[in-house]
Amino acid sequence: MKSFIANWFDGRSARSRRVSVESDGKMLKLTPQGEASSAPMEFPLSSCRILPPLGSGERHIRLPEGHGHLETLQNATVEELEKLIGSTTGLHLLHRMESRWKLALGALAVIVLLIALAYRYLIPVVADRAALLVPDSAAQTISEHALSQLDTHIFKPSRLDEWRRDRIQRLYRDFCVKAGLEEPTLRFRYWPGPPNAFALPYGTIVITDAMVDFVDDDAELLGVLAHETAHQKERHVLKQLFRQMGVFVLVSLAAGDASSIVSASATLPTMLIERGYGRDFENEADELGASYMVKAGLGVGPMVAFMQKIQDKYPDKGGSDLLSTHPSTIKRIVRLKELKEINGGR
Amino acid sequence: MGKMDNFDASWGSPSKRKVFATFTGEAGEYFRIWIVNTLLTIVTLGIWLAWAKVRKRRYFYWNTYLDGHRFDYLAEPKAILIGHLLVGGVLLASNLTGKLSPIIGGIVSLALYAAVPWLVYKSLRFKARYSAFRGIRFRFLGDVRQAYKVYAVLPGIFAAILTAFGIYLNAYREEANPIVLSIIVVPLTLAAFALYPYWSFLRKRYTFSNMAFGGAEAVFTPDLKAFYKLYVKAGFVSLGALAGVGVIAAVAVGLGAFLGGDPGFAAVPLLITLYFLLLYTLDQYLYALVTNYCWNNLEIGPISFEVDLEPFRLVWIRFSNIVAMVASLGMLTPWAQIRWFRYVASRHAVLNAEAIDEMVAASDTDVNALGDAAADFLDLDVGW
Repeated sequence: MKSFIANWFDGRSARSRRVSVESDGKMLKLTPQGEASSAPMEFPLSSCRILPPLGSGERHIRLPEGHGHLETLQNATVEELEKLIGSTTGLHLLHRMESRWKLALGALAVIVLLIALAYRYLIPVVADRAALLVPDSAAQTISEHALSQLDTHIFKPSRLDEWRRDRIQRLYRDFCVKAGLEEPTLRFRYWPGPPNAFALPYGTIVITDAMVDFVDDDAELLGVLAHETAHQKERHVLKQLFRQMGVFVLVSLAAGDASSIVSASATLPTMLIERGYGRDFENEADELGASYMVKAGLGVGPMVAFMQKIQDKYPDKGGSDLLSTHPSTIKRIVRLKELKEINGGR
Repeated sequence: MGKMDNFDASWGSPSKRKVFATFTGEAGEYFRIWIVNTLLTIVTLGIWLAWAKVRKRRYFYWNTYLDGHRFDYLAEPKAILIGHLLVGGVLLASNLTGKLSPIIGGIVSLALYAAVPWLVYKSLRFKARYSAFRGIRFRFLGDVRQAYKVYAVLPGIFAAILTAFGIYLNAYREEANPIVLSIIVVPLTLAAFALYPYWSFLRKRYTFSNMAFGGAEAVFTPDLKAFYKLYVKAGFVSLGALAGVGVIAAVAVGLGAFLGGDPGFAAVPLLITLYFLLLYTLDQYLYALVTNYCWNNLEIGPISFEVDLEPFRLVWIRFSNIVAMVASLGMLTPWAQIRWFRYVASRHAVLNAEAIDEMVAASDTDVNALGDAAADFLDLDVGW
């Protein structure tokens, strides 16, 4: 027989009443105190719900529907009662974890480990698989949509002479045949910013007039296109998109239902993680692009020369690799030079 | 502030006993609850989020005491899980259709916007229904029609004008006439500023006047003029604070550049960050003014309230909270939440507290209102 004193709220009136509670493990008997007229009440314990403990406050027992609830500070007695009827749920285990610093800090360590593992292994593998599953037609629709958006908002038609564009098209076609590649569509656009070239999610590479003017010779231009062809062939844009979605899910899970400030402060780690993936793709595109150049008989040299020129014109401070979408130009040059050595200095 | 009473002081004025709310939650305890439930949320790929939400919210309710009794949070995690799945599914579907077909995506997101007032109504109902004190549930008596009047009309008009403006800009990108632009932009901006206090007034009237505790319905008759005064005051103070900090920062940077050159320059990004942070936290100033006004003009049955949030104190708490959270990579989030809530709770007082004893539930049917709980799973943090 377990007994304790509790506050009883009947669910109809806001008044609290002192009751003494007795239980033999099957029934719960309430005897109101100080009111001679109130008769004791009995409920089967199986129809009551002893809410799991939370923090260090009062324990809470819900009586059958329509009879309100009990609150008591005699937590030890409630625990004994729970042991008596064997109603320790998983939430009790949870409460035990929440009550101990060692376990809570252990949980923190596991979270950090899980996030690191998800970042390095889970998200890339799952996202890259998903990117390969996107049907060509859907990827093409996305690409066309993206290009038309860019055309209305950022780009203008190319100002290069038609014969120049035709020549580059022929060079590129020839290059793709030699490197054994399916040829993506090459599109020229005018953009007032620095020289640029990029791959769309599917089948198209865009190159700006400034880039065509920036390179010294055809081989350098093909080096740039080789890099972008690698992006295009490996579906890096789609992979990046899916990885971003993965990071979004990961951060949402970790930040939980936190307020908007926390979400705002979570954008920084999100950005860092995504940029990390960006650097992976750049390195991969450099290596693959270099292999295409070797196959086409041009060697890695033109890519090295191009990167050197980028470094001269748009110097990289070499410092915080962590914050940029691309690996530092210096690191890329070092790697490309290594590839050049492997290829016998060409 | 009258200091004559506290909640355990029975010797106070017998007619109108004033009782302050107290919050007994502790940062360390809440940190452990937070981190363990976060781990479970990650491991279960988000399913536990519903349980975590109930547990965290219940921690705040169960630690908020008024006159020796605590608040209760009655929501069931399973209902919240259904709500999460439903909302998540709809958002995912709209996102995917938007990627595949812009037109269908546009229609879907338009439908989603049209549903916002309904969602606000639903979540206000949810929040009230599953909050209780001394065994009596709160209720929200507003209806959907009012919700649409409040949350759809004014924002809808502005959205329509902005959309038309966007279409115009898109069509005449290069040739857009600067005079036409300023004729549209200037009055639109002014109208937005002039009407925002009115919109806030409508929202607060909808949420506060429709509150009920058991059978006692709220009486809340806000004064539109008073609302405008609050907003003008908050506007001037915020602008003044921003200008003051801006001048100090500019002087500091200039002095630094003059004296040492480089160090002053390095401080610029830091100062800019702090400046925007201040801009972001100044909303707490307005929050304090509006919260004080609303609660001090609210009556629920025999109960009235005295709420006295100090605006700058609240700005400081939010500002230092954000700095602490960012500096600790989020680890101080539970501490920050507890700290903010403890202060806010401590400035809420109830007048005529002994009358709570006489308050009753709405009706017998409401006691058994769990029946349609399955339909009430929309618990979004909106509307307050």
